[in-house]
Amino acid sequence: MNAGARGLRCLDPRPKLAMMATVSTLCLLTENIAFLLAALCALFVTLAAGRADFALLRRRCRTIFILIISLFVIQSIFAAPASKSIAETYGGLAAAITGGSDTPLIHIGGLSLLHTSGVLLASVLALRLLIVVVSAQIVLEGEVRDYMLAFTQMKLPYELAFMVVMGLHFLPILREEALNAYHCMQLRGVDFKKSSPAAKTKAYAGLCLPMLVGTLRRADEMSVAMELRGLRAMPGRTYMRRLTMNSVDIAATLIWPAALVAVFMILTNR
Amino acid sequence: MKSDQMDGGRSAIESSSRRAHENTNNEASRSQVSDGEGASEPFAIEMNGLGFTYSSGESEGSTRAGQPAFSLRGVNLAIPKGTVSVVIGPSGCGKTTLLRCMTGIIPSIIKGSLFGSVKLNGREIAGRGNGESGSSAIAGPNEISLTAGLVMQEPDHQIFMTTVEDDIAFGPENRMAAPGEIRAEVNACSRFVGLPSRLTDDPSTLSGGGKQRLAIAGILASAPDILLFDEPVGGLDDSGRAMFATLICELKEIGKTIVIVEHDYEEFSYADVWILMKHGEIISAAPPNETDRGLLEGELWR
Ligand SMILES: Nc1ncnc2c1ncn2[C@@H]1O[C@H](COP(=O)(O)OP(=O)(O)O)[C@@H](O)[C@H]1O
Ligand SMILES: [Mg+2]
Repeated sequence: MNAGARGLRCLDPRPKLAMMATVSTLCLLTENIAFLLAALCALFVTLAAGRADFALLRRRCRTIFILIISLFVIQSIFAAPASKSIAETYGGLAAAITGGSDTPLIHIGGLSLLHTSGVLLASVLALRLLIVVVSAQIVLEGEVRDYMLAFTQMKLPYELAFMVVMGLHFLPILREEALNAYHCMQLRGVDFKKSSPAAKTKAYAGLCLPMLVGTLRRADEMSVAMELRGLRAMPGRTYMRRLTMNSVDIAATLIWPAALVAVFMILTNR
Repeated sequence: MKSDQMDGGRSAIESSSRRAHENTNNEASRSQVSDGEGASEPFAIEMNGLGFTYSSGESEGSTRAGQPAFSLRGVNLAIPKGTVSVVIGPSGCGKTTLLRCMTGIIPSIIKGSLFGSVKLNGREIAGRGNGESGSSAIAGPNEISLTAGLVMQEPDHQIFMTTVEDDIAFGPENRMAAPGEIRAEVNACSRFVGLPSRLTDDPSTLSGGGKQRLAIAGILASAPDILLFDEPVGGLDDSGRAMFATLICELKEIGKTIVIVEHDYEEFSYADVWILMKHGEIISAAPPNETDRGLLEGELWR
């Protein structure tokens, strides 16, 4: 497909979408810590074997690290003591580590804060968030246009595929428009750096409108340009390229999700 | 290298001509159903008493007290098939508006009050076609694009796919051409405009001139009968301008109708007609050697 590409990058988009769909669905179906850890391991092994861009993943993880930490703290403090047993909810591994009983961990006066179950619940949420971010990296190891083609070959309407692609396309444009508005306001004497927090907030709020207007105008012009190139002029559409799945792609689509489902069944006793 | 480039271009243009011909047949059968006019029509573009006023913003006419703020007024134009016309005039005189009327952007997408009628290959695209009072759109710009393609002034606004080759393929894909045919067309058109080594690159990495070339290739691959260019050589260097001149000559050779809007009229001395515009009106339309030089070099720009 892509001449010089290696690893995940030369895999068809469909197995990658299947992997992400399976892992993100399964991780919402259970609080079993052992399974969540196993799923995260499976993702890392896949990324490593597929020579993924770990530097990029690290950067993205760093930005959500704060989010995960704060969610963790808030959840573990405010979670109510669990009604079911730890082994039942979080699985045997969690029960073994915590000793299996829901004990308060911090006491302030007569008030018990932070229960074992709170920490476990927070861990589940953090793991789920990580799984979503890491599985997205599998999908990101590929070209936007291949996903678009995959969508249309899966018989989804091409308008939908275009919408997704246009959305991705507009992220940098949004940024460009924001910078544009920023420079314009700077030229007109708005000082973003020195003024007080209140003035600063006001200045940044002033960016929103020109940014929105600029982006909408671009979107408008773009849609005119698409019409001018004959979009929807005919009852259907053909495609220059066609994605074909080779044996590796087919195997990856079937085996990876199936193996994960098997691990899920075993670890959650279903 | 040069001859290779030309060969590539020629095969691209010939194949597109073939498809355009098939398309003309479709068009003819379609218009027979609607109004009975056929492909024997001598004019590619006909405008009768065309006037237009944007419903928003100020325009040329508003500077003159007591007059409506029109952008086009009383435009009568008949451009024969297979000719090259160049529209010349000062900025704001209505050149872009004229091209918008030829592609159905006006009145389908940009609103305002339109008078008169516009016909492409004998088929009315805007006018009083549905019998109501006032002019209206009869065909949408996407349908019109099968007959007339426009390269807009701003290349950034007409490139939207994530690779150069996908962007060139966008038009032929919309016309439902066969995949092999689209690939051949993309290869030939990219070679013609000088972008064959950039096929899988992201268009945003192209230079201004590169984007201009890509925008041209996109319309070329769409293979309409009528090609409209809004200030196409502005961002191009000398080799780009030479490429454009060759392109126009080859397109003319295979019977395409071409309208170019440009300030630097001297380099288009090979055109069949120079159309001079001022304040939304056509003040002269004649072959280059019969055009009033005094008008062209002085009066027009004042
Ligand atoms: N989208 C628009 N809305 C309102 N007025 C417009 C719009 N586009 C152009 N105009 C006005 O119409 C007149 C003709 O513009 P245009 O056709 O772009 O001229 P040219 O291409 O010759 O520079 C100008 O006075 C301009 O201000
Ligand atoms: Mg213009």
